[in-house]
Parts: sequence; C-alpha cells; structure tokens
Amino acid sequence: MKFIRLIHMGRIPGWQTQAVYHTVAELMTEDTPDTIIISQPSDTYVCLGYHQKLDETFDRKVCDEKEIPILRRKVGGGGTYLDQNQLFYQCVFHKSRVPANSDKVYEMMLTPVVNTLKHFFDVKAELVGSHEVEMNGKRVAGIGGGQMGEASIVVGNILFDFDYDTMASVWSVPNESFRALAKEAMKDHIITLDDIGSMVKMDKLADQLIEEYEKHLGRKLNPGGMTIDEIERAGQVGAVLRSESFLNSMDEGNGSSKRKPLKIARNVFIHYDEIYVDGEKVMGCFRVEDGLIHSTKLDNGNAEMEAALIGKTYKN
Amino acid sequence: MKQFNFKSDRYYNSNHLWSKQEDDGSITIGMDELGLDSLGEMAYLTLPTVGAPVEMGKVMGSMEAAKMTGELFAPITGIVVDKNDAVLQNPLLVNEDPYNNGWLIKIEPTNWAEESGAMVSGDALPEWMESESERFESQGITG
Repeated sequence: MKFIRLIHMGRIPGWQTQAVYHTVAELMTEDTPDTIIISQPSDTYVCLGYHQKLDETFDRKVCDEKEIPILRRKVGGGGTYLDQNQLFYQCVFHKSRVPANSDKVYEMMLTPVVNTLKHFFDVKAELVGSHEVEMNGKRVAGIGGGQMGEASIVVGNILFDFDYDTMASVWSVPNESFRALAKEAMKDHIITLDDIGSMVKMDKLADQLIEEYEKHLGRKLNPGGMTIDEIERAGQVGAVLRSESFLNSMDEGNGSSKRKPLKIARNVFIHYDEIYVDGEKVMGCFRVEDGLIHSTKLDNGNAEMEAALIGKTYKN
Repeated sequence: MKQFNFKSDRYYNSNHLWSKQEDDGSITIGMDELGLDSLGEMAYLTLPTVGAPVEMGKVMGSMEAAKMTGELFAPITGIVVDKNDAVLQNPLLVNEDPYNNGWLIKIEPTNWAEESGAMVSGDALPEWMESESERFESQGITG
C-alpha cells in the first residue's frame, strides 16, 4: 500500500478535529490506507490526555464560565488548550507499517514538521527528546501518540499564536501561586510563529507540510475524504469524547496512577508538594527545570527560604 | 543490536508480557525489557481490579510512555487475585525492575496448560528473542 490518504479538513469545529482521527483509527484495518489529516479548529476547546484526571487538570467551573468545551482524547500527553491559531496534523497508520519502537514512530511522523519549520524560517528547529518539536530551544508544538486497535497514531499542532492567559485560567491548580509560576514558565518555554514575526499563512504552511511528508516518507499523499462508514461513526465518536462518563473515566478507583506535576515543556515541570529543607517539612509550588529548582513559592511565605532553594536539586 | 535480559523461568508473548507460575499456582504478569525499551519511560498505568475476570487477548488495562498510549492485553485467562499498587503509584518501577518489583498483576488461571503453550519459553527463548529484536529494529523502517 504505497499511497497515503490525505484528508485536508480545513477549518472544522473543535470536536471534529478530535473525532475524525479517532474514527479513522478505530475503523482501521490492514487494508485501510495510512492516513494523514490536516485541520484547524474553528473554535476553542481544551483536551485531556487519555490518562489524566479531569479535576486535576482543568477547572470545570472556569471552562463553563468561558464556554470552553472539554474533551478527552485517547492518545497521550498532557492537557492542551486548542484554538484557531493552531494547525493540526494527525497521522493514523496501520501498526504493521510503522516501526515497533515509539521513538522511531515519532521520528517518522514529526521530522516533516521540523523540516517544514526549517523551510520557512531561519531558526533552529529540531526534534528533541524523541517527541518534542522545538524552535530555538522552545516548544512550538504539542505532541501525543497512541495505539488504538490496529492503528498507530501521532498527533500534533503548530502554534501560530497562543493565548497564555486563557490557558492559565482554565488549569485546575492547588493555589494561585502555582498558576503564576506555571504561566511564567509557559511564557519562557513556548514559542509561536507570531513570536518570530512569521507572515506565513496557515494554508501555505499546511501545503509545505504535505510536501515534507511526501519527501520524508517517500510516498504520495493522495487527497481523499472520509468513507461513509467513517462519516457515520465520527459523530458518535465525537459524542463519546465529550461525554461525562468518558471525561470522568480516569477518576479515583480505576487503578490509575497518582497526580502528576504539570508539564510545561521538555524537562520543565511545576510541582505542588512538600519537601524537607534543613529537616523542616515545607509545602509549596516548585518550578523545576532539568531536575533543579528554578523558582518556588512556599506556602509559609518564607522569602529567604525560597531564595535559598533556587538551583538546588528537586527531591520530593 | 541492543541486548536484552529475558528470565528463563517464565513465558513470553508477542506483546512482550511475561507470565510466571508461582508456587501457589497463581501467575504473575509483567512486561519484558525489549517491550519496555521500545516504549520508553512509563508515565501512566491502569490495571484491572482484584476479582476482575480477564480473558487472553482481551484488553485488561492501559499504559502511557513517552506520551504514547497503548492497551494492555491479558496474556492468559483467569481471575485477577492481586495488583501491584507500587507500579500504579510509580510507573517507572516497571522500567527499573521489570522482572521483580515492577510486576503488574497476579492471575488465578483457568486454562494455564493450554494458554502457556501458546507462549514462548525454555529452549525456544533465545531464537525468539533474536527475531523479536530484529523485528523491533526493522519494522516499518523501509516503508
């Protein structure tokens, strides 16, 4: 099966940007063509990674107030804020036609993204840590992947612009210090095409991305559409991804793992935890970069202690 | 080619789960080194609850490593009699100690004699390990 089906959706409702690739994956058999879907959400939504707990990730009340829908996807990664300033690429290949090693799957699917950035911009674009697309050392994309039935999936986006304030406002956080630390870290470690003064239109970037996929994979991308079965199923899948039962499916009692720190970028995390300082137990928020405390806000408000912790190895 | 450790006292399947019969007849299930190497550092795991029935080849849980999710398929049929809470709290333990403290669940098997025969063990292990290592190196690379 040499050619790849290209489903270029253009601007579509947010829920559809999730439902389409889930559906293609769910219905994939060895006879289904490998498929790459390109799209842009026409509205804003937030999306949970498959294993995340909703109430530890997003603040439902704030999302309701701002009328931002919440979806859960079946692929990995953290909670994401998605809007019309992002271009989505979603690769759904039969599992027999991708490497068995996940690092190599990411390399296969994300190298064209890096090459697209290099094509347009005089920046250092690279694939780092196997699955992070970075530009000038900062994160320019959100990535996730998974195996679903017979399909192997890699999804991602390219940030043309990013609404840091709204993203920070919808996080479920233990306190406002955490939110402030996280927002600051996000601004330091995320880069958008707007930040580098890009004038490249989304359509043009999408066209180049398609060309780069063809070059890297050595296979033609044939424009196509969804099958009747896929179209019929997509509506149902979309409903599942937004359903209360699926959104709450990783709550306590299902055997899932403990709460995770908030990941901002590669090797950058915000923790809320207690640590020991000179034998004293202190609780607080910690911005940790490459295992070292970059900055902290302790619950006890001890500024001297906060300053002394900077640069220390983080051990919770 | 990387070398991986496979314990000779257990059975392995194509999903790279190992099964080991304990003295009390229960079967301990875990993940092998080759499978884990291909996945990366484990970030999340979900496992079936104690008392739940599991069926060979059917989904019994899920995992996530390097932002990549996947399903865990039961290697044998039976009833779950124990699960490893330590790996739920710290999934990295599976990578760090896959054949001991990183086990996943214990199953009271209902068809061990037949189902273990469908797995790889004993003298067949070295050849299978080599062919699997080659498969993991080459699959999907040539397009």
